[in-house]
Amino acid sequence: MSDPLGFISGNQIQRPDFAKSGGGQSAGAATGEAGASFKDVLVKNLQEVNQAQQEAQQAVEDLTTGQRNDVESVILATQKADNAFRMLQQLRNRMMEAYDEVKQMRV
Amino acid sequence: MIADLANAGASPVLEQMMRFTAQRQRLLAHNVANMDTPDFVPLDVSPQSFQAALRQAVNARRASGKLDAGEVATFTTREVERVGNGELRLRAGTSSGNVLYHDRNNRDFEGMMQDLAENGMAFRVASDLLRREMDVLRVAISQRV
Amino acid sequence: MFGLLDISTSGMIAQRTRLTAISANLANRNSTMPDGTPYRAKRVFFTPGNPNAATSDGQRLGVHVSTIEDDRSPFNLRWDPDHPRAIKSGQQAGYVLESNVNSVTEQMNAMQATRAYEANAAAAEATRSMVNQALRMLA
Repeated sequence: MSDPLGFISGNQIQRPDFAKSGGGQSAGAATGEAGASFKDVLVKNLQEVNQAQQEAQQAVEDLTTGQRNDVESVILATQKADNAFRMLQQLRNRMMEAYDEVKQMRV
Repeated sequence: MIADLANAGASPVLEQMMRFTAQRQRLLAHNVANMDTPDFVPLDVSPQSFQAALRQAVNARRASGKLDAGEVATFTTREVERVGNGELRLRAGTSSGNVLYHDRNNRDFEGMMQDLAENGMAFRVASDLLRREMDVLRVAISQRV
Repeated sequence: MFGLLDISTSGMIAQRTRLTAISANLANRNSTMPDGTPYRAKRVFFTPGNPNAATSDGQRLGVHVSTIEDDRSPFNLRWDPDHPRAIKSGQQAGYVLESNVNSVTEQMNAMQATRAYEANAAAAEATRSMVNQALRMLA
């Protein structure tokens, strides 16, 4: 019972595919596909969120140094990045709760 | 650790912008107050040169390897001086009125109003974006979305 | 960010210059130049673009006063043979040359310039409120 979600070993055990393309849809298909493990999907989403945050930071710096003049697109970029980050944070919280719950299961 | 927290992301750049616009507002208010004073020469600092210096500091920060961390380097230009506690002091020169227009009076009046409005707008934008940066940090720290 | 209001400001400055010229015309309606000719109305000519703007956007857009020239339309004639400046001989003998300032036209132009000034100020205000509106998204 050391690796219930397959993070460490990456075993092909049955796990729900609930982080499909970062959308968080509770897909009907509960079988994990052979290729994309949950860990890979999570890491990919982390990278996407990181990318969005860095692009937002670049936009803000360009605005303050005078290289771009459109306040509205900078605000949109920062809001999108923040939404992605908060979504990731909430996903992380739920995962930790789920892990705690699973941990307390009496085998 | 605390310094890294304060210099994360675009916070230092926005902080510089806020300080600059706040100090410049005082100069502009001084010019407006002295609109009818005879022989008065308006004082100003150029936001374009400040933005150019800021751009250099940002590029230096990126070039030093840390993409989004690290302090934006202290820079002192002819007009802006960075004092120890982070405050910016502006050495205002007379505005470059090197071309005399016969309608110079008109240009100054509307120009002053425009500068006041734009400076206030820039301050508001910088402070709101800085608030957003702090909010993101707080979300990460408290783990509450 | 520092050039957002350049265009509207250039419009306001141009309209105020025009209003200054109109005021001068109205004030000098009965003036005589030092060489004896009556006062010629001044006309202000605008050109798009504003070379004094700090940003390239502001230089391309906006307006500036290119020249202020005298109105070349002919002087008005008034019949007054006893006037010291009356024309002595020729077809127009006995007439006095008066300035070509038409008060009605000038007053209409003044109203137009005022309305244009207000419109430019409203445009600047709209730009400001748009930025404020965008900033409200950050709340």
